[in-house]
This record gives sequence, structure tokens and C-alpha cells, in this order.
Amino acid sequence: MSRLSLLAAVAVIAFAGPATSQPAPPKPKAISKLPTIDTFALANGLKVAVLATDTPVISVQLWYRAGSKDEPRDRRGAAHMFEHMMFKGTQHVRAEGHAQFINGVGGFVNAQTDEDATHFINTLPADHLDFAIQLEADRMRNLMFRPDMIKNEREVVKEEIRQQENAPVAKGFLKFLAIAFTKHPYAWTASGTARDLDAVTPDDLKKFYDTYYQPNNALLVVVGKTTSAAVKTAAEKYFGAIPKGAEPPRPSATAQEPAQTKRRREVVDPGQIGLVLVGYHVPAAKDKDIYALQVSSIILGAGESSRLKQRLKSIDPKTKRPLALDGGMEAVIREEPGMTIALGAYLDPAQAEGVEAAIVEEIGKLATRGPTNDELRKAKNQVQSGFTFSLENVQGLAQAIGRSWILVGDPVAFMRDIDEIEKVSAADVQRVLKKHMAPDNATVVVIPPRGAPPKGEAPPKPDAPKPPPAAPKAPEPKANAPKADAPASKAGTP
Amino acid sequence: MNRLLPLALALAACGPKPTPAPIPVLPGDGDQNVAKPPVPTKQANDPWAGRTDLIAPPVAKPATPIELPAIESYKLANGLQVHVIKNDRLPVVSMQVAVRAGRMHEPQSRLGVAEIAGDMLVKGTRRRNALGISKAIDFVGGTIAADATFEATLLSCSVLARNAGTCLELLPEMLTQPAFAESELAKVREQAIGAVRTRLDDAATLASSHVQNLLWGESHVRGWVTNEQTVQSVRREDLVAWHKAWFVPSNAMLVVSGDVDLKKLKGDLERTFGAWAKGPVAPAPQYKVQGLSGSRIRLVDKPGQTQTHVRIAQFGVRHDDPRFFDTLVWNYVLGGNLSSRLFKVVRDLQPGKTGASSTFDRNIEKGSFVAATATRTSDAVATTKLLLGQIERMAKDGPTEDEVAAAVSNIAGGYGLRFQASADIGAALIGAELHGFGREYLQNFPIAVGKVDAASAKKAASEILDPKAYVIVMVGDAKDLEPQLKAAGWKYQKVSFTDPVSAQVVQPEVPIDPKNAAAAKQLIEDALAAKGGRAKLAALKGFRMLASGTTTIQGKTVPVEIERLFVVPDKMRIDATLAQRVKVIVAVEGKKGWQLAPDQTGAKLELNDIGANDIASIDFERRREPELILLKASEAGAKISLGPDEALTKHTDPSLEGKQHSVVKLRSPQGIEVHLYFHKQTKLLSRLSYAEGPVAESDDFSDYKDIKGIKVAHKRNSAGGARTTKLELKSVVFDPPWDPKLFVKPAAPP
Repeated sequence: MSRLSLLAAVAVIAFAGPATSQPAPPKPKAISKLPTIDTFALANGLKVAVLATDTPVISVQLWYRAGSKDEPRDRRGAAHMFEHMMFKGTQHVRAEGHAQFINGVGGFVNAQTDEDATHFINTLPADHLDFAIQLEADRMRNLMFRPDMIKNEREVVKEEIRQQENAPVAKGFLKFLAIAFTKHPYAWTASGTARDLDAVTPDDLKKFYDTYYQPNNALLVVVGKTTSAAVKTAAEKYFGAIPKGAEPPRPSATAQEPAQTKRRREVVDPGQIGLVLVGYHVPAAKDKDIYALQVSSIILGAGESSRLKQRLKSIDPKTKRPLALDGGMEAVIREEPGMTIALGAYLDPAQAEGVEAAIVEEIGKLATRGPTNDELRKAKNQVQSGFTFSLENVQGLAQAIGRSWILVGDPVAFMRDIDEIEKVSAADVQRVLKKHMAPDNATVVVIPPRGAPPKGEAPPKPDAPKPPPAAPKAPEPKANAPKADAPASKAGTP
Repeated sequence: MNRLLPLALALAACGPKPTPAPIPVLPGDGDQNVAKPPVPTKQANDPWAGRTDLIAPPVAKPATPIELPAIESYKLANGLQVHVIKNDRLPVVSMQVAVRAGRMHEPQSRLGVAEIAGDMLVKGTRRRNALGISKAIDFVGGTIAADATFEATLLSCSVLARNAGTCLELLPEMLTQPAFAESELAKVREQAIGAVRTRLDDAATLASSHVQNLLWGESHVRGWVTNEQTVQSVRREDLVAWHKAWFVPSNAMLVVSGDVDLKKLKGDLERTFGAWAKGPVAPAPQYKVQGLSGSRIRLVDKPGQTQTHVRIAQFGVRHDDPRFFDTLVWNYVLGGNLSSRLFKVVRDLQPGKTGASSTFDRNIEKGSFVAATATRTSDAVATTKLLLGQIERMAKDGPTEDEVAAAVSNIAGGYGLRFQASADIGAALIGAELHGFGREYLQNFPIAVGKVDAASAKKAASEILDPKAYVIVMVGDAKDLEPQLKAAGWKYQKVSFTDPVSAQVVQPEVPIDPKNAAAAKQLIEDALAAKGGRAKLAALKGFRMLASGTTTIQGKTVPVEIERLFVVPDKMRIDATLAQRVKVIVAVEGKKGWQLAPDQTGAKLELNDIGANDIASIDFERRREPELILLKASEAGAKISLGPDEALTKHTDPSLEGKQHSVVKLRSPQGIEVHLYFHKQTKLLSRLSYAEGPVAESDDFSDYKDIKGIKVAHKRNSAGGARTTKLELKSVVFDPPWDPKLFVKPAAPP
């Protein structure tokens, strides 16, 4: 039986992979020799960041500022579909050849599209650095647009969307974003919609490619056993000849989200387990308040001892059951103003309001009374330790560098953020919570639980145990386990 | 005349199609239903044909051994095996403990105990509660976790090197003195129930659970799948017993990796982990592989599901099998990567598939091989045929030399990439050591893979992939799937996605040897005589019994009073009072029945008809009525056989403990096999056991007293799933007067 990992599930669904799933940036006090990141740019505007480590592995990544927020409003999913197409052959590499080549030496490839960016990952034995850079340079401008390939990939992406449609949690989360963002393109995720994808033409895609897949809109990140000189030589050799493109347009510039003035709340289609999502608009990654907001969300929702987990999972003396199965909070920080989202997962339909109230109350309490010194220290330690562990893995480190560039325009900034986190005071926490997480700024979506399953699996209620299957034996009365056709009101967990 | 025959055949061909063979051909029973891999037709419009400027593939280096840091290994005085991997690249330390206590060690009656006990390890010790543990680890920004896998419970703790003391304090406490507090158990149970329910929304997990169950059946631990009932049935005492049985130093190992001072660590470990008391360990339970369970295709109906998840499973290979590395290679070619044969064939069928894959368990014992895909429902059967076609092709022809070369260079080349964090080597070492391999396994892994060639891979594939022995599960919308299955002539078993994941309890009927049947018949005759004689029992028109005792549900024991009226042949009424206040009535007559029981809130009584499904279960209950079952077993045509003698264990009556009993197996019309245990001397029934669904049930009988010449057991104890009921008969009346109104459903609850 797999463990419930609701936070992870929700993060994967939409805000895939980014921002601060690990307790934010870091203070490397624990480390004597802090790694240095070299950065430089080619004449065509391609930015390059290199971090040399001593593991015989290398991660070569290409980050493009091309996310779902850059899509035309009626072409939702185009960026994601494009990411798929990047594996389907160039003038010099056959379809799937890129992945096959990297796999061939024991490496692996991946790619991810989110709201702000699309990035491509090649992690492989360190001696194949040049080859990986060559492949990335080739597909930056030499993609082959074949109608049958486009048709194919459209269906593949639609199939991925279909999978989401079958998951109530994913559906509920998409609804949450649509309610929270009335104007900004963060209202949808990178996964897109089947209807828009059907409308995407090869010309649309070619235009997207020519607009965003340009050296001046990209960052090459290399982390692993190499040197800056080796990376520079390879980058010049393979990317150098690509001409600079025009500055890409940013549709979101004219679609900034107006300030929210009133709480929004909606109840959506039920799932097997209930989920309450409570979100608040927070400023963009560049805003100074972000550090205190990160500390706040760690205090509230990171780790078993965090306030929300403790509160939501405590046992109700009356029912002898916890209010919720799990809960937590994520500060989903984006290039433009994003959301901090708290959530609680629960089984009993009657608990929806209790879960929501508990979340709002805990946020309010922290805003009014502030964190304890221990809580503040704990949050900062979590950040430090998370940072140190992140240095163990070349791929994760390269992603942190790429993400830092996307969020604030500087690949090295995340290394400095740690000092800012260290400066956050109890008063800062209170101030940002009052400012950004006021009740009127909340968006609430409730995915109610269906309650106990219809057949045979319901737990007996504590005060009315089933009659004994004794000898003489009674058949089990089924009052606790309504049949599939029983009225919905009966289907609740006792 | 002869010349008319072809004409007659031609005419017949225009008429109705011949009816299909009584046993439809299954995929795998030959190749007529197996789609052949499509012939590649793309050469014609290959956009890269003739190009001379294509980028050439990189040249892989020959496989070389993995360079491991020095590993220091020793045993603590209490027998705990320790491995220390020193690595000071970063100031971090990880400690990982493996205890050989996994799902494979669980008894069926306590399914889920491994996972719940694992989860509970971080939920409090005798010295600190759950909050205390999480505060301690969160404060230093570390992580601590415990999780049960199939073979072992794994604990891990990772911190900055300066906080190593936190792990040294917490891990031994969790291992040796878990609190298993009821309040925390309630939370863990709630989460486990959440996971069971989430499975209902998650067609992929549901498909995987069903396919394991279908492949291994109910008599093998790999076939058991938890449900809400099993989760509820795990009590604190089960956790305590589980911990006591398996959590001893000689059944565990510890790996410490990272920035440590070897000498100081040795002292620290002896002081902390060294205090873990020694103890004996029982051998792990062994299960015979029964072969495939009855049904080979299971359709799991999930209305509204737009995709169908398909799983094809068969038996895999042990980790220490000499063909293991060959299997790594042919499986990589078949379904182990994004350019694999399965992946391609599914993508080629039509655009829009999300791909397909195949995996096999890397376990001590033989596990499963599973091919998986999620497909548009309209293509489900066609896709399944394609997968089967590829599996057959691999079994027949093996991989090509080029495919083997690509697989070897990927698997061998990629192995070293896994070891980045210092804990990665620790985790791999634990995996190897648990299976009886040393660190050489890690070092030589690429070399072993490099030795695989096309011939050895083909041989392994042909021996391991059995085109006759596999099962298929499809999770999707039956209304769209059934026409496809029927059109393909595939026989299938259909269940609802909300049904518990269990094989049908229909055990395959084996022909009974006449000698064996005669011996069983004789035993039944002897038992009939001992009970009072066939004539007396056959003359019974009914009986009323009053009993009182206790019933325990989920660890909570309440008094119970029961009045049971049975009127031959098919009327039964039970009036039960629980905890002196909750009243329940069940009345059944033929195929109809009703019940009066507390509603959801427990506040008021509700009157309901008993549905058709439950009548079937009541039928079975009437069938196994202990006063009458001997008569049924002696009827002409009763399917009985003699089992080997067994010594009774855990019987209510201590005087029967360990006593040899004769065993007769009686197959009921419901397909359930009931085992009757007869006392060797008295010939009276001491126990009756059966498995209804995944849970084993048993009724124990003792304290026989003579009532009008019939011997009636006055002490009765039944156990099954989460319940135990102990009853003593207060009175027994044969052929009592009875009021027909007792079986008429009242107009309203009282």
C-alpha cells in the first residue's frame, strides 16, 4: 500500500517540480567550502552557469523562459506539447534519437514544463559533456516540424490530460487556480486543455518555437565533474553560431492579477478522500516579503511538528479520530505573484468545515502572536540542512540554479537568499502574514470525500458493533455498509 | 453425392455463424488471438533517409567496476551487523537500518501489520511522543522515516554531521522501545484507510493490486491486498507482537554513511544501538506457489473511467537466479525504457498512447513480472494483444544483438550514476546484503551486466517468460470493454472497482480419488453416530438456542446475548443484544429476509430488507449450521474429501490444544470449502473453518452435552478478521413451537 503523500501529489499535478517544495533557500554555514558557480554569456545572449563537483556524473540542462503563462489564452497546453516535440527529431537527430543516445551511455533525459519555464535535463557520465551540449544546441533551432509527428504528440498530451480528468484531486486543484486567478495566466497549468490543443496548428507551434527557443531566452546549466573552461569551449562550439533572436513578448505583462478584495469559496466534485485547499496570493519571487513568507509556510506546514500538521492530525476527544489525515502548506513562489497554499485531507464528509476553520485559525494565530524563538530557529535550520543535502545531487543542484534564473533573473541568487532567510524576525513573520494572508485574500476550494465506500468495507461504529458472527451466528447486518444504491446521505463514515 | 458437399458447405457459410467453441481460446493458448507486431512501413517516408549530416551516437566505454569508498564492517556485541561508509565530501550523515520484517512476514489474519508498525515507529517511544520525535528532528532540519517494504522495514535518519547525535538518540529508541500508542494508531489507521480509498480513484494502483492478487491467489502472501477491514483489524497488541517477533539485532543491519569519525562512531554505536537486547528470530514464513488462480482475465469495472489500465503478469525470477542479469537485459529491451518494444508498439498502434513498460521484482524469492499500460478504452483489447505479441516474440526469439548492446551499455553505464549522495551507497549496500550478496555485488554489477550476450538473454527470456502462464487485469469502464472482450472470445471474470481486491474463493475442483472419498464418508458416518445418529438429526424440525458471552471487535469487548431460532429447512431468526442496549434482529426465510439494526448514528433503529448479495452469504451460513452440517455432508452427491490429520492449535478448549484431528473437506454449493475437524476418539466436531473472501474464519466447539440424545457443543468460539466471539449456550430446545409472524417484516421499526 502506498503512503499518502498529498502535498507531493498536489505539487506534481500542477505546480510541477518548482519553487520551494524543499524548505526554501539555504544558509551554508554548515559548509566550509561553499561551491562556486561560474556564470558567463555568449555573444548571442545565451547565459551559461557552471558548478564543478567531484562526482563522475554531470547534469546538462537547458532552461527556456517559455512556460504556460507565455501561451496565447486560447492555446493552453502549447508549451507542454512543445516540450514533447523537442524529442521528436531535428535536422540531424532522428525522432527519439536524443533520448536513445543519452540512454545509450547510461544517462537519462527528462523535461518539464511549468507556468514560468520549460527545461530539459540530460544527466549522464561526465565524459559525455560535449555530446550532451551538442544535442541541446542542435534542437534549439533545428527541430523538424512534421505533420504526423505533431498529430501524434497532440494525442499524447491529450492522453496525459485525460489521466488528470480521471483524478478528482487534480480536477479540484485546477478549479482552485481558475478561481484564484481571474486575469493572470497562472489561472491554468502547463498541462493544458484538450480543446485548445485540438486548435493548435503547426504554424502556431512554429511561431512559439521561433519566439521562445532562442539563445537569448535560455540558460545552459552544467553541474558535475567538469571545468568552466571545458563548458565554455563546448558552448561556443555548438551554440556560438546560432544568431540572437528577437526579445520574446510576455503576454502576462498586460494580464496582471487585480488585488483580491473578498474571500472566494467553492465546493467541487467529490473524490475518495476529501481535500480542503486554502490559498493566498503572494508577491513575486523578487519581492523581499518572500523570505518571511517562506519561513511562515515552513512554521505552518513543513515537518510533522509544524503547526498545521499538529493541529489537523490531533485526535478529537469526541470522535476519537483525527480531524484530518494530513495537512501542510506550500509557498508556491513564481516569477510573478503566485500563491501560498495550505491543505488538509480528510475522510469524513462532516469534517470539511472543521478542517477549513482549523487552517484559517492557525494562520491567524501565527499572525497575531508570532512564532516562538524555537520555531524560528527550527525553520532556519530546516532551510540550511535542506540546502546542504541538495548539494549531494548534480541534477537537483542544476535545477536549483535554473530555477533561480527563472525566478529572479540570476542563477546564483539562491545561494545568497540564505542570508536573507537568516535575517527574518518574528515580527517579519507576523507582518507578512497580516499583509498577505488576510481572510479576504483567501481562495478556498473543497473537494468533498465520498465517504465510506459503498460495499462491505465500512468500519463498524464504535458504539454499535456488528452482532457477532457467532455460533449460533448472525449474518452481518449491513447498516454500516450501505449498498451502492443507498441514498448518498447514508454513505457517510459513521 | 460427393460433389454436393462443397456446395452444402458454401451454403452453410451464408447462414448463421457457427457457435464458438465451448472453451474460448485465450490469448496465449496459441497465436490466433495474438496480434503480430505491425510490420514497419515507415522506411518509405523516412525524413532522415540519405542524410549524411546526422549526429553519430556517442561511443560507450566498456563496463568497469564501480569505485566504492572504503567500507568498514563489524558486528556489535549484541549481534547487530554494522557497515560504515566514510565520505567527507559534504558535512552530512545518514543512518539506515533494515530489519527483516516486511509484508512477506505478515500473517494473513494481520494483513497490513508491517506497514502500520513501520509507520508507528516514528510515532512515539517510551521516552518521547510523536511530537517529541518530530520536534527533535525538525529542529535540526533533518529527516527521519520508517517504512515497511515487501521484505524489510527500513528506517533512516539524515542530518548535518554536527547533529549526528540526534540520529544516534532517535533511531535506537524507535527500534527498541516504540510506544505504539493507541491515539497515534488511530491516526495511522486513518491514513491507511485514506490510502485504501484513494486506491479507488487511482486506476493504476488498483490495476496493480488486482494483478498481483490474480496471479498469486489467496494462498500466497503476494496475493493479499489490504482493505478497510484488514486495516481496522490491526490492534496495538498485534504491533507489539510483531515488534517482539522480528525486531532483534541479529535480524537487522545498520549502515552509517557520510562525514563521520570512525573511531568515535564505534563507541557511540556500541553505547546506543549496542543496548538493543538480543533475541531469537523465527524463520520467515514460506509459501508454495500454487500456480495461477482460477481466472486468467479480470475486468475491474470502473464506470466513467476514460482510460483503461492494463496489466499482464506472470511469475518472475529470484535475485540469486543465475539468469538475473540476463533478465535485466531482455526486460530492458522488452519494456524497460522509453524506446522499448512494448513502448513503441503501443505508440505505433495509434497516436495518443502514453506508452507501456514492463518490470520484474528484485526479491529474494521469485516475484512477479508485470507489463503495464494505460490506453484509450476503445483500444484496450487491441493494445493488450500487442503487448502479448511482444512478450511471445521475446520468449521465442529473444533480443537482437544490437538491442543487447544498447541495453548493456545503458544498464552498466547508468549504474554508477546512482551513487551521488553518500546515503545512496548505503541504500544499495543494504539491498545487496539483505539478499546475501556483499559489497562486491555493487562493485561488479556493471561487469556482470556486461557479460550478458544475445544468446544468454534469449535463453533466459525463453525459460522465464511462459506464454501459457499469465494473467491479465483491465481496469476501465465495463460497458465499453465487455463488447471488445466478447468479440475477442476472451473469457473473463468481472468485478466492481469497489469490491475488495480478492480472488474469487472458488477453489479449483480437483477430482476426488474414490478411496479418499470413501474414507471421508466413513468419517462423516462415524461423526453422525457420535452426535446422536442420523435418524434423530434428520427428524429435527428446528431448534431454539439461547447463548451469552462476549464479542470483541477492534480490540473492544462487549457482552452479547443471542437468541437463535432455526426452522428446517430455511428459516432463521437471530435476536442479539450487544452491550445490554444495542438490539439487532435478523430474520430470513428462503431467499428473503430483513434486519433491524442501529442506523449510521447509532441513535435509532432502522429496518431494511436484506439484499440478494447478502442472501448468498446467509445461504452459506445456513449450510454450515453445525447441528445439520453432518447431514449435508452425508447426502448423496456431497463433495467431500479427506485431508491429512492435523493437530489443533489455538483452540478455545485448552484440553484440545495439540490434539490430532481427522479432517474432512466439504465443498459447498457456494464454492467455498469448509474444513471439518473431528476429534479422533469422540468423533465429535471440534472445529469448522473456511475462508469467505480474503479472511479466514473458524468456529471452535467444545463442552458437548446431551440434549434429548443429541450431543450439542455448549462452548462456541468464532474468530475471523477483526472479530472474536465467545459464547456459552444457556438453553437448547429442539422442535420448539414458533410463531410464523417472527419472520414477517414489521411495518416500521419499534
